[in-house]
Amino acid sequence: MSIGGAFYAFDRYRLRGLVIDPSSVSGFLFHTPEDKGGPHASQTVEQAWDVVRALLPEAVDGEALEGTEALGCIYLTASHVERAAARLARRSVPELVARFTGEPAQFAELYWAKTWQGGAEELAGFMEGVKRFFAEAAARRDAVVFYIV
Amino acid sequence: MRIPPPRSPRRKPLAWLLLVVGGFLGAHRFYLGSYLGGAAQLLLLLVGVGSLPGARFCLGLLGPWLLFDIYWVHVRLKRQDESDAARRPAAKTYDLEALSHADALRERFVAAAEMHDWARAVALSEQIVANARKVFKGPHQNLAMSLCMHGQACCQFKAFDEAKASLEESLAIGRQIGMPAEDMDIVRKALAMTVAAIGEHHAARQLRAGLPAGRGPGDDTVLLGLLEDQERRYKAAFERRDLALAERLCAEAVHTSRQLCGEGGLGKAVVLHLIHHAEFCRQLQWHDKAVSLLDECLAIIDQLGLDDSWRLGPSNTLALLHAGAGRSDEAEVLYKKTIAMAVALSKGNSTDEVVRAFNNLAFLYANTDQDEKAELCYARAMVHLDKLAPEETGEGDADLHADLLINFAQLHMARNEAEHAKPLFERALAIQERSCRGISTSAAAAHNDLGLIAQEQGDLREALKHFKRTLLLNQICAPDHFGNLANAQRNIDNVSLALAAVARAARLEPST
Repeated sequence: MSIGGAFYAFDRYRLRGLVIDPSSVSGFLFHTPEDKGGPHASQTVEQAWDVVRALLPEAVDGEALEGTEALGCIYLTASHVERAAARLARRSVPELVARFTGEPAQFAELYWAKTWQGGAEELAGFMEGVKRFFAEAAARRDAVVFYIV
Repeated sequence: MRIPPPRSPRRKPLAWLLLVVGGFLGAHRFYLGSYLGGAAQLLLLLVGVGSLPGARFCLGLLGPWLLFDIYWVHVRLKRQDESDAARRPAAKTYDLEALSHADALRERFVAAAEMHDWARAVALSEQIVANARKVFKGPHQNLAMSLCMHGQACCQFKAFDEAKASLEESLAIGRQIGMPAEDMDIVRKALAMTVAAIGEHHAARQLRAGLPAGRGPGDDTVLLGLLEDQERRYKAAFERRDLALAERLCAEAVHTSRQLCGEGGLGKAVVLHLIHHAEFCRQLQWHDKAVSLLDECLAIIDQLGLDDSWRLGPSNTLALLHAGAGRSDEAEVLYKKTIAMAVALSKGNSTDEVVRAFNNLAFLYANTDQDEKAELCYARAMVHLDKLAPEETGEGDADLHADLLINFAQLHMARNEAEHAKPLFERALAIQERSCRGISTSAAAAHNDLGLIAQEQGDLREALKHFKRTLLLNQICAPDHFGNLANAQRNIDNVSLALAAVARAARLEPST
């Protein structure tokens, strides 16, 4: 079974409860509808989570959250999200993808690196999606969780 | 309408054998249910073998009739086949893939139920029921038991309406298909438990809302639901620090609670929401409105003859309003009254209310430069705090305990007594760590002061650690308090600059 990841944006005042009780994160992300305070938006990066993390470190520049059911979980407060969105807006996805595909050896250790070097177009789609996602989350002053399962 | 009992099927080979062997006796006709025909054939035979007139004619009639019966038996047996086919239920060809999917879902449901993850269990049982409806396309024991599972999960999840509907449908299907008695018992027990849980839930809702007991579940359900919704929304708005919205929603909740409390609009529910409304008005600096709400609240408490425990909250808020308006004398009088009420209610024991009352008065003294009185009150509050259940048990109001320790520590800080302040801040942090993993604005305040102490003592790394924690906690707990965020960031920047300067100096003057 492969490992995938996704970003979830939600009301910034919900974050405290999740940090206090990390075991509630999966229930909140997957079983709480938006009208009951659940996530406003999500952006999957599927099995490219490691590649995206390496190419767009700003998107995961938050705090690790232990005790969830995930293989990895990082949260970003509204302040983190605003800063990340500003930094991501300055990044050029085509340049990053070109570097990733142009220097395969440098990224060989990343999860499913070869696959994404072959599917650079889809990878670029994910990365543009992450940029858009952060811009929208920052506009709403949302908090964000990056969840790897 | 009377439904005829089904006839037992006739065996084809025997019918043909009887025609061949005993046809002249009408045996095949008797066997296939044509009793009149059989009797007629027997009569023809008896007359034919006797010496009566017309015997030959009878035998002559019987011969062709038996020949005709070859065709008759064939038609009769064919009809029997058709009628059997019509009566026999259609062969069920179930979707095996869907059934195996249902089994997998059932296993996951059991696992979720064992972990008491009822949200997940409800989601899974919904899928199981949908699956059963798709596979069985009508009443079936599997569907009935799936509905029963779903009902039980919904009941645990407090989705009582859905639980009741599912269990009632399960019972109806069970009756329709004649489900085994033991399975019917399971469904009936689950339904009885759900109905009992609905009653308990309704009573708890009324109690929570401060409504008079004894109303049936059907009474005022809509208003009660509305009140709960308004309460949830104003609390959520307050948590978001959207005070204007919280105040508006709370005013609506007060109105709804007046309607629920019937004639005169007097009831505990009204008092509860008035207290919140006054608090929101106080925080919005609408002091006059807050005071009038509290006056009304205290008047209702008097009219209802409620005990002093109901007066503590509004008296405190009123005292805060006086203190905020610079009327410290009036505030002091009220705080002293709340201390007396709290002590009387606790019958001389230490309770959170007593601690809160002393803490409030001490805070007033500290803010009016009466440090000695403040210290005395804080010390008394600390004595009561120490007499409460050990903090490790997690009992009591952890926020109150932490606030008291932080307030007292800040008094020491104001008097440059860092050595007294530090252990109090650390104890407050330990309490917060146990109650909410240290994720609170109180913990942020404690970290900030500990950072200042460390900075003053020259431990810049420790100070930086505390200031960073302060910033993160404020970002999580009070993301819209930009002033606090800016202060924390400024402290981090200052300490970082100082650390960089120290590092630069160390590089310029290497130790010999």
